[in-house]
Amino acid sequence: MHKLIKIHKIGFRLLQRIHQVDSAIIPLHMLEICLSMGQIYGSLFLTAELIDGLLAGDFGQAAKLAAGLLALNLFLGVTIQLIKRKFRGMKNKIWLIFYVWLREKAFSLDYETMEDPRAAERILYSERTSDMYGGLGILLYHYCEILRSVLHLILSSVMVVYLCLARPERTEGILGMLTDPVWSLILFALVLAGMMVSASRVFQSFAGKQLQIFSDHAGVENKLMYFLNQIYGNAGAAKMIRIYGMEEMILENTQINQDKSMDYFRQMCAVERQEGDANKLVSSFFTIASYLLVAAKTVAGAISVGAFTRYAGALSQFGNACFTIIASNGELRKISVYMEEFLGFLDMESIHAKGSIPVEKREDGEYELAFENVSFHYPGSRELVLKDVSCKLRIKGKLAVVGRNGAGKTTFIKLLCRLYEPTKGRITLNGIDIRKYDEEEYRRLFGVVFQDFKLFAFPVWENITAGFERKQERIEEALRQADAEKLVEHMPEGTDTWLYKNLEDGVEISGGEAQKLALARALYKDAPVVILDEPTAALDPKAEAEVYARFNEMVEGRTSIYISHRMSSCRFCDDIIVFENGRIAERGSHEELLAAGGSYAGMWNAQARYYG
Amino acid sequence: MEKKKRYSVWSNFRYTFYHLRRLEGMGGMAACGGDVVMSILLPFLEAAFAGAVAAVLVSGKKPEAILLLVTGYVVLLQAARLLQSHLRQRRIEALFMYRGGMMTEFYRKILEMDGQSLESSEGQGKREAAHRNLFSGNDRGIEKYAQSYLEAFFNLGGLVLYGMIVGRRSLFLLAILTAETLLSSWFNYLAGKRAYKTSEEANKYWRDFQYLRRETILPENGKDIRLYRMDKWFLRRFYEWIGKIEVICHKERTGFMAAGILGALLSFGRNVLVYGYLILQMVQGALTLPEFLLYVGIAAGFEAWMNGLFEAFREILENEKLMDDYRDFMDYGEASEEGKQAPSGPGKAHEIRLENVCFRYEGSDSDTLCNIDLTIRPGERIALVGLNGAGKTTLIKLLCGFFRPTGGKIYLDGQDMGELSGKEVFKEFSVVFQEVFAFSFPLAANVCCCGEAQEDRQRLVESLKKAGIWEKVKGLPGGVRTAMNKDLDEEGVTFSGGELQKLMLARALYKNAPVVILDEPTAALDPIAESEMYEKYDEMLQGRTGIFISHRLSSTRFCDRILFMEKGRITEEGSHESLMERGGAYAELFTLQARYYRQKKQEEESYA
Repeated sequence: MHKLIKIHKIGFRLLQRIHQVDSAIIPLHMLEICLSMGQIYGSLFLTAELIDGLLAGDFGQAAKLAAGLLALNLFLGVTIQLIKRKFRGMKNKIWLIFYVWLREKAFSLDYETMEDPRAAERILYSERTSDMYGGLGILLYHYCEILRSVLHLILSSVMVVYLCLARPERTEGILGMLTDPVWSLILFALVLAGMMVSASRVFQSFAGKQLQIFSDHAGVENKLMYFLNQIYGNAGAAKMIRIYGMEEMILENTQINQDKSMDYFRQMCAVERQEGDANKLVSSFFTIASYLLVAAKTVAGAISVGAFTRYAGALSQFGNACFTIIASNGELRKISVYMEEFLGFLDMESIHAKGSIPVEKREDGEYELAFENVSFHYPGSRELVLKDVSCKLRIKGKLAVVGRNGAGKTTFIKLLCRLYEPTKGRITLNGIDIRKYDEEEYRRLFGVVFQDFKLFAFPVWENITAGFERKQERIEEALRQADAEKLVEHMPEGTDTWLYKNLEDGVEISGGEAQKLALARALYKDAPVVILDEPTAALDPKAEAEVYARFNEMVEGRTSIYISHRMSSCRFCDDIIVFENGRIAERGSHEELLAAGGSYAGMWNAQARYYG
Repeated sequence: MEKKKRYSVWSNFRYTFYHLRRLEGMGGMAACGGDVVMSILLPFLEAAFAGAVAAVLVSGKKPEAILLLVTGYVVLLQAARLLQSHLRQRRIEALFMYRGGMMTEFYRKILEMDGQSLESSEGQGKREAAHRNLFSGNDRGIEKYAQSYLEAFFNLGGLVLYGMIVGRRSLFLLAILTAETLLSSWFNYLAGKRAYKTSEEANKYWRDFQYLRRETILPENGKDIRLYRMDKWFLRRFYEWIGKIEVICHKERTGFMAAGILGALLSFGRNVLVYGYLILQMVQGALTLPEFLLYVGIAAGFEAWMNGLFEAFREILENEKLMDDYRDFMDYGEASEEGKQAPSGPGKAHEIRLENVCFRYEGSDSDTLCNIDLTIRPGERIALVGLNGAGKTTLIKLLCGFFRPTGGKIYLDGQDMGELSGKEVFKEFSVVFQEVFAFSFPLAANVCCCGEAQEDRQRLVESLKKAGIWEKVKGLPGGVRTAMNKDLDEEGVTFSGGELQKLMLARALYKNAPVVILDEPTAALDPIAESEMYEKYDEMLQGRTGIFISHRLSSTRFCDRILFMEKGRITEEGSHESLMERGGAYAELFTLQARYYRQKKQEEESYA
C-alpha cells in the first residue's frame, strides 16, 4: 500500500508538470473518455433492444432502434475525431519537453557536476528508459486507461449485479441453483477473485523479469550507438581502418555488442510473448465463466436473448477493465522507477553556493585577479593538479602561460573562470573571494577560447553572439580583429551562413577557420579578460604570424592570458608564468627567464635552436 | 516518380523475403505465414460468434446442450485469440531479428568497400540514406516494408473471404460494402499520404532537436555553454522546434480528421442501407436473427480489411524509396579486388613515382592537385610544407593508395598502383593522420589494430616507449588493456591531444611498414616532447622512407628534401639551405616563423 502511494505520488507530480505545459491536455483526454464510454454503453443497450425487437417481430420498433444506434455512433464518432486531432501534437510536445527539462536543469548545475560522466549518465538513463518504455505521454496514457477502466467497472458492475439478481423462471435442478441470485453472486465473486489474483501474479512475475533483463543489458544500445556514429558514420575513420587493417577487429567488436543487443530484444520479446500468452489464458477462464453465467441466465429464462448480448458485453468490459487496471498500475510502477530518477535529477542542488554580490561595472577595466595559495584536485582523484599556486594577474597585462603537457595550465584557467572551485586557498577579484560574486556576472568578465572550444550548427552570427542580440557592426568588428573577415565574406551568405551540415546545408570549415570564429566570439563578448588556450595549433605559419601581429590590437585595454606550446608567442607577452607539475616554477619577462636558464630557457631553446 | 526506379518493386520484394528466409529460416517464415492465416481467421470467428451463440440460444435445445455448445464456442474463440496473439508476437520477433541480421551486412559493407568512394560526399550521402532503412525503428524502413507485405496479404485474404460470404447472400450488399469501403479507404489513403509528407517536414525539426539534444549534454561543451551563457540560446531553439513540430502534427492530423469524419458519414450511410436491407429481409422472413448478427459483423469488418489493405499499400510504396537507397549503397563502390596483384617487394623500402598526377574531388570544379611529377627514393626523408589548403593531405592520401588519381599514374617500385590490390598496398604504409582520435577499444587494440590473441606484446611495449608514452600507459589502472574513452567501458580513460598524438605514433611504429607518413604529428606536443620527437625521428625511421608534414618548419631540418606546395603544385624543392638561398616562398615562410625566435629586440618590435 505504501508503495502504491509512492508510485502515484510520483505520477501525480508528473501529471502536474504536464498540466503546466498545456492546461488543455488533461481535460481533453477526460472528455474523450466520457464520450467513448457513452458510445460503448449506448451501443450495448441499443443493440440489445434491437435484437429483442427483431426476435419479437416488432420491426418498426427495431428500425427506430437501429436508426438511433447509427445516429449515436455518427455523432459521437465525429466528435471524438475532432478532439483526437489535438492529441498527437500534444503527445509529441510532452515527449520532447521532457528532454528540455533535463537540459534546463543541466545548464543550471555546476560545470563540475555536469562534467562528471555520471551526471551525463543520469540524464541518459532517464532518456533511454523513457524512450524505451515510454515517457510522460505513456504515463498520461496509463492514467487515462485507469480512469477509463474505473468508469467501466462502475457501469459494468451495476449491470453485472442486475444480471445476477435476475430471477430465473425455472428454479429446479442445478441450473436453477446456479442462476439463483445469491449463488450466482457468490460464484461470480469467486471467479472474479480468482482472475484478479492470477492476473496480478502474472503481471508481477513478468514485470520483475522485464526490469531484470533491462538492467542486465543497460547501456548496450549506447554502445551500439557509439559504433554507428563514431565508427561507421565517421568519414574520417575510414582511412585509419583501411591503412591499419582494422576491419576484422572492429567487425568482431561490433558483432559482440550487436549480439548482446539482439539477445536483449529476443529475451524481451520472449517475456512479452509469454506474458501475453499467460494473460490471454487467465482472461480466457474469466470469459468462459462469464459466458456460462449469462447463457445459464438466458436458458433459465431470467433474461432475454437481447439482454444476453448486453450482459455478455458488460462482462467482457468488466474483465477488460480489471485487467487494464492491474496492467496500467504495473506499468506505472515500472515508469515510476525511472521517473523517480528523473525527478531526483531535477531536484538536484548545486554543490557550490552561487554567490550574490554583483560585479562592479568598470569602464576602465581595472579588475584585479589573484590566486592565493590555491591547490586543486579533480573530484574523484587525489592527485593535486595545482599545488599552492599564488599569483596576481597584472591589470591589462599580457600574460603567457607555458609548461609541458599536463603541467596544470588549462586547469589554472578553468579555476579562474570558476568552472571549478579550489580545493584549498582562494581566488579573488579586487580583493574579494570570487565565490561571493554572482556566478553569471562573474563569468561575464571572461572571453575565452578553450583548446576544445565548440561551434554549433547555427548561422555564423549566432555563433559569434552566442545567441544574444545581433549587432552587425560589432560582429564585423570582432570578425575583423580575429582575421575572419575574409573567411566569412567568402561564405555564400556572409554572417547568415549556417555552419556544418547537421541542421541546414551549411559550410564545413577547417580547424583553423573554426579557431578564428571562436576567437571572434570571444572578442564579441567584449570582456575585460581575454584568454586564449592554444589558439594557433591548427594554423599554418602565415596565419599564425597574422594572429601574433594582431594580438596587441585584439587585447588592447584588456587583461589577456595566452597559453601555447609555440614559445614564440611569449615574445609579445610582458609577463610569463611557467608551470611545472602543478606549481608555478618561474615567472618573469622573456629576457629574465631566458637569463635564469631554468625550465623556460630549456623549452625555449628546444624550439629556437632549429630557427637559429 | 520521374526518375526510373533502379530496382523494381518485384525485385525489392524478392530481395526482402530472400534475406528474411536466409536469416530467419523456416521458423521465421512459418511465424509470418501463421500470423497471416490467423489474422484472417480470428476476425471472422469473432464476427460469426455472436450469430452462432444467438442461434444456439434460440434453437430450443435442452438447457445442458445449449450450455455445452456455448461453452464450446467460447473455448474455441479464446483458443483462436491465444494462438493469434502468440503468432503475432512471434512474427514481430522474426521481423525484428531480421532487421538486426541485415545490420551486420551493412557494417561489413562500410568496412570493406573502397575507402575513396565511402569518404566522398556522394558516398556519405548514400551511406546515410541506407542507414535510414535499417535504423529508423520498426515504423519505417526494411522491417516495416516486410511487415507491410504481410499486412497486405492478410487484409487481402480477409477481404476475399468476407466478399465471398456477403456475395453468396446478396450481390447488392457486396456492391454497397465495396463501394463505401473503397471510398472511405481512399480518403484514409490520401490522409496517410499527406501525413507522410508533413511528417517528413517534422522529421527535419526532429533531427535538429536531436542534434542539439546531444550537443547540450556533452561534457566538453559545458565550458563554452557556461562562459558564453548559451543556455538561453539553446532553450529558445528547443522551444521553437517543439512549437513547430506541434503545428506540423496538427496539420498532419487535419487530414486524418477530415477522412475520419467523411468515413463516419459514409459508414453511417452504408449502415443505414445495410441495416435497412437486413431488417427488410427479416420482415420478409428470408433472414434469421443469427444471420442478421453475422452480416452486421461482416459489414463492420469489411471496412477494416479494405482500410488495412490500402494502408499496407501506402506503406509499401513509401518504403520503396528507402529500400532503393539501401540497395543502391550496398551495390556502390569499386568492384572487388579479385585478380589484383600484391606489390612485388613487400616490406622493402619502396620507390614511389608520380607521373603527371592530378586529383579532383568529386563535385569540385577545380583540381586540388595538378600535374605532380615526383619520385620518392627508397629510404628518403621528405618534408612536405605549405599553407593550409595547398593539397598536402590529399597528396599523401594518393601516395598510400587511399585515393586514386583522376589523372596521371602512380608507380610503386615501377608497378602501376592502379593494378595493385588496395589491401596489399596499405600494408606498406604507416600513416599518422591529422585527425587524432582513439577508438573506444582497449589501448592495445588501438596500437596493434588486431584481436588480443594476435598482439605482439613486446613490440607493443617497444612502440609505446619509442613514442614516448609508455610512462603514462604504465600508470593506467589496466595498463595496455585500459579502454580508451568511456563509450564502451565506464572505466576508460580520456587522453589529452598530446597523448593521443603519441599514441597514434606508437600505432604507426608498431605496424613497422617500410613507408612512414606523419601528418602534423607534433601540433599538440609541448616544446620538449616536440624536440624529442625530432631527435628520435632518425632512430624511428631506420632505413624506412619518411614523409613529414608540419607547420613547424623546424621539422624540415632533419629531412633530406623539402617539397613546398602551393595551390596543388610543388613549387619549390630542395634542401633547407638551398631553398633559403633561393629566397622563395619557403624562405619567406621560414623567416616569418623564425622571427620570434631570433634574439634581436628591434627586429621583433618592428613586426609585433
